[in-house]
Amino acid sequence: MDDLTLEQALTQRQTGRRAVIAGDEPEVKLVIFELTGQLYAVHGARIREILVGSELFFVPGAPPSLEGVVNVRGDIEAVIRPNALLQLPESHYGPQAAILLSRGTELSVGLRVERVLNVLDLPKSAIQPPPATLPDSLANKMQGVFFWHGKSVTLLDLDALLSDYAQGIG
Amino acid sequence: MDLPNQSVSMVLFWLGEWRVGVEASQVRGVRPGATSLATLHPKPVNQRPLVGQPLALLFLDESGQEQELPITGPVELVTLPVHAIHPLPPLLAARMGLPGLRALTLEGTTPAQGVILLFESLAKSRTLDIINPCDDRVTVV
Repeated sequence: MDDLTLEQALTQRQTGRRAVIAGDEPEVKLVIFELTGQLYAVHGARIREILVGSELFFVPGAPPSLEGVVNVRGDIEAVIRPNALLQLPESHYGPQAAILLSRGTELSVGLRVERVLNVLDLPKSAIQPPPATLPDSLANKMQGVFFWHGKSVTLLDLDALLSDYAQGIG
Repeated sequence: MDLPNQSVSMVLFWLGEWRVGVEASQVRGVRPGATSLATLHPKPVNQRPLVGQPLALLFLDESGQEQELPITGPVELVTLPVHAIHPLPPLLAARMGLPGLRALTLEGTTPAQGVILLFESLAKSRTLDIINPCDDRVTVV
């Protein structure tokens, strides 16, 4: 190995750092949450608010997965449990349960989740395509998969999720 | 957003366990109804108690004929301020699938007090007379 001078070594490190900064890849902000032990995420830009401890108004005649409506400073929003949409068993909600007030391209909704784990910025390259083995009924609602603290997190396609729900799925 | 300081007069009543409202201008009157809801609907009456007395809500259909809608009391005439009338969230509207259901109002300030379903024209909407008031789901006859 060629011996460098100290100055050369420092210059090399600085050049490398500038290259990293100049080539910073785009990141996305994601909200990670949990449902029945599974981790999911949605784009942070689609989340208007995260509510904890809000009470819901029951709406008679609504399907069971539509838990009710929440009053957010005078505006009401429907709140759904996405478990059936994602082919998951029923959740058990504890004190950490939250409502993600989500805004899709055309529809908005409150998503009832067991707990919100984190909000983070993730390089886009870290998101891999969903497994090819997934059934179409699930794959169409997933944008990809990434790993967070060694656990697999499924990135959901909010528009597809809400579209399916509006059509009576889940 | 500042909402105009206006209101809508509504008649509120019960359809089984549903608290429902329609514009007061559509209601011609209320009269004592059948002695038992079981005589109106072939499905067995469930064990949940009726909220009140069986009544019949009188309204005019599109041809101007007087029609009756079986309801239960109490029947209330209320004035709802515009800010208390909430448009139906689109996802809720899509999944409930009740023609004529247009808005909600929250009865009181606590969730325990419930939601009132606000329907548009009784004459145009045939939803209300196909709802089985003995069940909290819509039954298509």
